This record gives sequence, structure tokens and C-alpha cells, in this order.
Amino acid sequence: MSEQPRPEEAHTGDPGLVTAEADAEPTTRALSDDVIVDEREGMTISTRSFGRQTWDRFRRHRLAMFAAALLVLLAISFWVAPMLSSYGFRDIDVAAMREGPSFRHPFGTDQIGRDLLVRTFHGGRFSLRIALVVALLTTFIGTVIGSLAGYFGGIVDTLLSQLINLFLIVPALVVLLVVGVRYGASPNGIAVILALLLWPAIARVVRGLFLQFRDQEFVLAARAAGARPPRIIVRHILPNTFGPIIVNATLLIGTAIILESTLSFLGVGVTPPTPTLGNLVNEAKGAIDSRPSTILIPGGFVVLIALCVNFLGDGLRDALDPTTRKG
Amino acid sequence: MTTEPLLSVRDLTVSFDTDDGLVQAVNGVSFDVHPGETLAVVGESGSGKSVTAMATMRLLPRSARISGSITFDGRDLLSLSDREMRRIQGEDIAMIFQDPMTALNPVFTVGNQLAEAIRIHHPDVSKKAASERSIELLEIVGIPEPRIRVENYPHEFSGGMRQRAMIAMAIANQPKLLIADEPTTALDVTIQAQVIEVMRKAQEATGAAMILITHDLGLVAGVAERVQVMYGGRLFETGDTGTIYYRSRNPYTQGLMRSIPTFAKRTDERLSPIPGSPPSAINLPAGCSFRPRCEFAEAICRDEEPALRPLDPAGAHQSRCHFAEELPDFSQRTAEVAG
Repeated sequence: MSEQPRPEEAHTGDPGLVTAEADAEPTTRALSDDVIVDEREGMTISTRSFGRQTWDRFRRHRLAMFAAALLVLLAISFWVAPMLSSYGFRDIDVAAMREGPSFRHPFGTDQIGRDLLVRTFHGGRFSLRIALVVALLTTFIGTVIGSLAGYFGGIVDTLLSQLINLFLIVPALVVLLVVGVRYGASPNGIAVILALLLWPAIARVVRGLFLQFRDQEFVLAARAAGARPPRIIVRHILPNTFGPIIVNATLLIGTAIILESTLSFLGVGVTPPTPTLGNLVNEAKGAIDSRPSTILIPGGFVVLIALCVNFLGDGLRDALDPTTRKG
Repeated sequence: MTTEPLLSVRDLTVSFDTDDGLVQAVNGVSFDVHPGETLAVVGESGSGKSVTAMATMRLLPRSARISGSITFDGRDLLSLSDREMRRIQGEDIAMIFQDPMTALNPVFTVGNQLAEAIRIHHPDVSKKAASERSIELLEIVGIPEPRIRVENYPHEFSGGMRQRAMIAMAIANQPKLLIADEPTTALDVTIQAQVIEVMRKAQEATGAAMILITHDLGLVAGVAERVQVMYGGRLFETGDTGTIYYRSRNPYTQGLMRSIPTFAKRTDERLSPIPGSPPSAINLPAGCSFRPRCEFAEAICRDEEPALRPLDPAGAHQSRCHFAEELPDFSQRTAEVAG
């Protein structure tokens, strides 16, 4: 008896399993408000939106929640507290120079009698503003250059990578000192200089991510669907890189605050009498033995802000990645 | 066939420059696909079947050297500009990829990606209309609760559902030609038949022609009208599905057939695999590239490469073998083996 491999037998399983008609009979039932069980596919479906899921994941990250709350609190107090005081950050109280903390001046006064609470909070305001501008500007420049280098590769990548390396080997502190002496007057000027020095770090991260995603099948699929390169870069690949970019951007806020403080401490940052957390430490450096609180308070704010943004970045990274689903 | 072919590939040759030398991935391949028909391209890994598909889609890297012609709907695809080609990609020719795990963008909802596929080519379609159409598409490919599912992310789909979503995306713009590159390879066996059935349905709904690329001859039977077998970058045999299954005139095709497990085979009967491995595309053997693995090989097979010869007057059945006419019938040979 001869045995022929008949075409019908080569089929595995019953091809009639999936039909549009079969769907007339529901295969799903609701488990709770936002979870549905699909019995035919053997899996649960969540009906929560992306925003809702992100928020739920973020909320579970206690440290990040705490850091976010603290940052908001700090930002609000930086804006509101100076308004409640009767002193401006330039006002001199000749009757109270080099005073320790008192009811009238809770953080004390500096050597020419300016209220340190008002100056610290104003300083926090300027420091935070500089840091935010630096983070935004750096992320923008770094993302644009990094994505172009990573996506197009070849000669574009070679040129841009050399540019990145060129900026990376520039001794940042020396440039900052030189440029700072010449242009470092305004908070915005400092922010631009810092951004010009910090973007290569972001660009390298973004370039690496684009190299990784460029050859993935979903990018090939996008090309097969007829999408143009700008669309592929912006709509298909970039959203996949948001997580790491946001983490790096938040880390930058910390870096920028510290760098700005360093600059101001060295005396080439924002020019007095405009206070920043950094030049407050600078002004008080002579008083480290007599009145350490004048250094510890602004210095403590620098550390606190840098810590908070790092925890916040951590939480955001976990929350923004839709594939990390822990319930 | 009397109709004008939809896709006509002539003498397609694709090679890549590598550090180890020139890789001949596809070597002088010619075939036609007619409107609405399904052509299966079968072969082992490295036989050039995927490269043929990628060349048709113009998705090969720039380093690929391509010659020959690919005519689709009267236009030579190889001479179109990138811009002109993009208008065809996803609109007239759509592709279904092998691995649905990686072919969907992880950070967008399935509905978002379906709408994107539509709006790339039809920017005038409103977001709302595109989203309605996405739900409709998911329904066509048999995804339950499409209204909820459309909001889901790919990782919330099972493998089979993802592949069905890919199919939905491919048929979004009612293409004339679907190219499915090993659409079931990454899936469980039990899901494979489902997905093939969904593809058949999708094809029916759009009237598209299809090129089904697979290494699994068993999958081809119920779906394709014609089969072509590739080996080492060359066409080895081509014919109607029935002809290939019952009256194959090529030792390689017959070897593939014998390696399909079937329930009809006796349990004490062992599968007979083809001995050896496919040839390296850098250094193809002289003469017939299948010779080192062929049980019928003789001196002429080393000296002279066989041509792809028609075996019937219409030329529907062609085989690349010096002994095509003398080969025993496949059914007789299995009978002998079975004893």
C-alpha cells in the first residue's frame, strides 16, 4: 500500500478555528472594573489607558513619589517664601550684620546684613531655573544630533561622532572659567554655556539607542509600510528612547545645579548681588568656622535637589516603559 | 494563465560584498505572480527566498548589488526613486514579517500602529476614521473584543494575536500584493494553521495576490496555487501545488517532501532528512549545487549545471535536474521505501 503525503494531512490543526462568525459568541467576561478575561486567547485584558497605567506604576515607586512631592514643595517655597518676607534679596539691614538665626532672620544675615532666608530661596529659584533650561536645551541638542548620527550612520555618523568627541575632550572647567569671566553675567548665559558643554553625553546615549533600534524589525516594518525617514525617526524610534532620555535629562538637572554652584563658587557664575545657591556658598566661605549654617543651608539645598531629581528620574523610567508591568 | 502578471521578476540576481567574498544570495531567478493568486516560495535557510522578497520590497541594504528586473503593475520597481517606491510600499505591496514579537513597535498601541499604516498613505483620513477602520481590521483577522484590543500594547497580545495584528496592518490599504515572509515560523504549531487561515481570509477580503515564503512545504498545501522551490539562490522546481506534491521531478523537492512528518506514516517509519547542509552562498559547488547531497548524482552533475527546463508543453512545470524525466515518481519511491 503506498502512502502519499496528501496536502490535507500536512496541515496542523483545524484551519476552521478562527472565523469572523465564531466571534459572534463572546469569549470574554469582565473580571473587575478594568480587567477583562479573554477565555479563547487565555489571557486577561486591561482596559486602563496608557496615562493611567503610567501613573499607577509611578505611584508604586515610593521614593520617586516622595522626591517628586519634595521637589514641588521646594519649587513652590522658592517662589512663595520670598514674597512673604518684608526683605528683598538686595535689602540691607544695617542693624543686623553677620547675625545667626533669629526670629527676624530665620537663616541669619550675611556680612552686609542681607536676609539669608530670602537670599537662599531666591538663589534656589535662580539655580532651579538655570538647571531646567540646561536640561531642556541639552536634551534637545543631544537628541537631535544623536538621532541623526544613529539613524543615518555612515558618513553622517562619522562626522557627528567626531563632533561629539571633540566636545567631550574639551576641558569643561577651563572653558567655563574663560567663558564665564567674559559672558557669565546672566543666569541664561550660564545655562547656555552649560548646555553647550553637556549635550555630548546625551547625544552619545541617543545615538546608541538609535543604533540599537534602527535594525529592529518594527523599523523595517515601518519602511515596508512606506514611512519616510523623518517619520521613522520621530514617530517610530524616538518614542522608544524616551525612557533613557528622560532619566538622563533628570540626572542633568542635578549635574547642572552642581556645576552652576561650582562656577558661582569659583566666582565666575552668576554675578552678585543676584543670588544662586552656588554663590551663596561662595560668599559664606569665610564663615565656615564662625557660622557654618550659612554654608550648610544653601549647600544642603543643592544636595537635596540633586538627590530628588535622581530618584524622580528612576521612577519615571520605570513608569514610562509600557513593558514593565508588575500587576 | 492568460492574465497579465501582477508581478514579473526576470533574471533577478542579488549579491552582497562581505569580508569573506561575494555572497550570491539570489542567482538568476525569474517568476510571475498573477492577480489574486498565491505563490509559495519554499526552501531551506539561505536559499535566497527572503532576499528575493526583500528585493521586491526594496528593503535590502544599499550594499546589496541587484540586477535583473522586477516589474510590478507595469512599473520597474528597481528603477523607481525612493520617493516613488515609498508610495507603493504599504499601499500596493505590503509585507508580513516573520517575528510578530519584534515587528510591532512596543511603545504604541496596536490601534495606533494600524492607524499609522493607513495615515502614512492617506493623510486626509481623520484620526477617528482611521481608528474606526483599525477596529474593523482587527475584526477581519478575528481578534475578539476589537474595540478594547485596539487600545492594547503589543506585549498585551499573544504571539498568534500579534501576527494577526500584523496581517491586519498589511491589508489596511487593500494592497494588490501581500508578501508573507515566514509568517508562521515564530509561532506555536497549534497557532500556525489559525494564522494561515486568517491570511487566506484576509487575502479573500482584499483580493490580493500573495507570495508566501516558508521552509515548511506542509503549510503550503491548502493555501497556494503554485509552488516554487529554491535552493542555493536558484529556482529548482516550479509548478502547480498538486504537481509539486504528487509528481515532483526534482530530487531536492522530493527530499523536502520526505522530511514532512505526517500522521499517515507508520510509527515505525523514520523521517528521512536530506543529508548534509545547504551550500555556502560564497562558494557554491561546481555544476549542480545540490549534487553533494543528491542520491542520484552522476558525473554530468559535477561538470555541467543543469538548466531550469520545462517538463510540459505549457511550461507550467519546470525542474532544474539533468535527470528530471528519469526520476522515479515520488509516490512510487515512498512505496518502495515503505516496503
